[in-house]
Amino acid sequence: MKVSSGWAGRICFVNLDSGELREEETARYAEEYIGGRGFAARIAWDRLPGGVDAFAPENVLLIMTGPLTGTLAPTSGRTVFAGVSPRVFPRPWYTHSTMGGFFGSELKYAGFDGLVIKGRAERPAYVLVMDGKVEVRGAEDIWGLGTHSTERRMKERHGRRAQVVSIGPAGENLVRFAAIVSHSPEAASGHSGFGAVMGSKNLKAVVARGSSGVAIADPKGFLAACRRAMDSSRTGMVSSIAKGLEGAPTPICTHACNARCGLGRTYKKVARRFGRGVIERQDLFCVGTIWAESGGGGFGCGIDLPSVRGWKPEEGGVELHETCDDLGLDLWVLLTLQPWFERCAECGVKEIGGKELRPRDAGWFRELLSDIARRRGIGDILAEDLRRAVEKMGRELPAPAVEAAEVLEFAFGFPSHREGRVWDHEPLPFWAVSAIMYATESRDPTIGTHGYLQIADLYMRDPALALEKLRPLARSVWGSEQAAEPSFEAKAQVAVWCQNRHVLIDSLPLCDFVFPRLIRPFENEEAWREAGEVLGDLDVEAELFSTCTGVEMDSSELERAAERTFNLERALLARFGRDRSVDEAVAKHFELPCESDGTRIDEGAFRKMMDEYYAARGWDGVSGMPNRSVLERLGLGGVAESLGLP
Amino acid sequence: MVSKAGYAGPVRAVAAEEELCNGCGLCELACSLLAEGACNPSLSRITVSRDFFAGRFYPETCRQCPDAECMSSCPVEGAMVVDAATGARRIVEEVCTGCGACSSACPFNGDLGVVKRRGDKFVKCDMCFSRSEGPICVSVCPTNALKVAVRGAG
Repeated sequence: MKVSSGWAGRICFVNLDSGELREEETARYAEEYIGGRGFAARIAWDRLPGGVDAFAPENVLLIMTGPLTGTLAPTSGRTVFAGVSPRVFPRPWYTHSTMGGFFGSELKYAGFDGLVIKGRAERPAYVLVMDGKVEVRGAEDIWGLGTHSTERRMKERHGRRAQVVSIGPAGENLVRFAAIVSHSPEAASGHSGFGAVMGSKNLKAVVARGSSGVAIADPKGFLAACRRAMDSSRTGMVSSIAKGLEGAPTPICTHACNARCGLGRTYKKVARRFGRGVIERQDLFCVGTIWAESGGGGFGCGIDLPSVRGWKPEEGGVELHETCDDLGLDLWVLLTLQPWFERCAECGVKEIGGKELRPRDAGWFRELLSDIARRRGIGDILAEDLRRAVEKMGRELPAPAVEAAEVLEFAFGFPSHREGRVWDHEPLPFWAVSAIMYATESRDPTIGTHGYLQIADLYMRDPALALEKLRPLARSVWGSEQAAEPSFEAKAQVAVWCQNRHVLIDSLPLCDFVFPRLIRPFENEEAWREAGEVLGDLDVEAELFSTCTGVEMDSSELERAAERTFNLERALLARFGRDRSVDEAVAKHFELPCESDGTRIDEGAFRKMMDEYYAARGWDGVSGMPNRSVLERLGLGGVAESLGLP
Repeated sequence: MVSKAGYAGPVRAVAAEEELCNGCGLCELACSLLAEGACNPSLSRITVSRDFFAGRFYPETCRQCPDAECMSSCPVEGAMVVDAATGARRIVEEVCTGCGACSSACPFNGDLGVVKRRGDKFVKCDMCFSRSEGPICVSVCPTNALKVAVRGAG
């Protein structure tokens, strides 16, 4: 097979130890792994030794796009980063992190579907990808700069259309939650700390500029598929402030930032805030509406901006956001550290590491962020991320402060979110699905729950009405009406579905805030009340994929590819000691009551859900590893062999 | 008055309002998809200039000038014509020799380009003259930053 549409066709392997560059044809991976997260998993499986540390030169940083990146497909402009993450607690393992914005598109226009970066440059370096050619160049002159200055310098040198991902001081100093940032304030790969992986490789930036396009196999069909995608996504995690493609009342930025609907306005307001007053709440929202007719913003989940969550603009939230971006820190540091400091203060802690505690003071916080990024004073300990820091400081801290850290980052050191206890308190059945996903993924999985959460707002308005509508949907999508009920029954298959569909979204790629389209849009509450069939458009991804690439694959074939990737990721995690006992370490968190409905789950019931999950996956109930038969069904017989499975 | 373009009807051009543009680039991708069968901003007839730090986004479009210097400079008979329905100054691909006179003559051809080279030909905005709904960039713009402006006489 040779790819002719969709994919750019080549993946470049960069060895920073030797400066050697090597290329592989994408066709090797295309149909089996689709792109993005799928490509990353396959390449990592082939090249990542077990137990390798995040900061070892042997770690690989994978920067991957998919067939839809750089095309008109709504929300497709995403880039996937993967490798061994330094953030994972207590020991690093392989995971991924995605980013919106314009970089991935430009990488494809420059001729590459992805970059695989290994080794450690002797001196600070950056990788330049320019119209089909890859070069490693010296970065001494930009080492130490913030991401804003780095990006500006790179654009001055390589042209305004060049797209840049870079790290700031936080990545250089191996802060475990250092981000890779691109044209802030909206695009970053944050949670997984891959900024520090770049830092450990002496890699300051990757710059791409290209003039090739992404060929589309069936332009007419593709345009129609894009329109269909827009039309089916007029509610949920989407704003409808303007008209969108061909008059459909939905604006979706093709480049798929987190803040796509408010994207331009956000930039404008951030750039001009001193002249034009503060940012308004909605301007930082990418979310939309329950009802298609009611316009944008105003409810539901916001994007992860501190000016929306925790910090208001008038409290300095925008400046804190900018500081994080410039230093190259995961923005969510504000959503874990700030409440943690508050908890410490409540427990009577007056100072931490000799630093007086003033957690509601944005100026104090900015100074602290700078100390973290440069590993100064207490910043050096906090740079290890909250769980490791608390482990270090343990004896000096009151017990409730230690417990708070364990709650705020209960799953492998990643921020807690959408699990009913910390950030976002959706009731049963929603947190039960999250719980299984937390137990079985390599990082916080909340982005993958968005598909199921599309029904949460409808459910919370009127549970009885929602269940009446959703039971038939649950039967057809998950094989059981119980899947929609506020119980622990039949949640495993929902988790499996969410995971597979999310791998697909991360592989095509598209934005998880928008896809999959589980329910169809309703103009208003009346239309919802009167609706018979409520199922959305679950085949639109396949339509986008096939018209783009010319490779005919239907939804079930694409889901199978995603299942292959998820199993391969699991096999990779086994190299890092992941098994059922590690999975179930998160169970304790769900013994706490859900904030909104007070529901909880005990260890026995949790284990029962997990039994069902392993069975649904075809994984061994004791080890939590995929069974040989499943791997063979997915064409991964070699993986079973290498794992030594019976 | 009949211009050098030899056409006296109304002229349509895509006009952009900077304040409304959010820089998303849908216009570039849809334009190149329609014209080239590929999503390629480098070959789009409309180009979005983006300055993230200044929060400034501006779509650069062809103005379909009254005295179009691209046309008057074209040395090849029939390589540039005025479309009878839209008044768009358009390059006839089959006739174009790729000399580039039009591109050098265009006073608005900045570094991003209004008249662009594609292989051994040049391309520019033709107002999607064969598309009954009008220019696709205007159709897809989510923020109404693009409009079709009509000028009385060409």
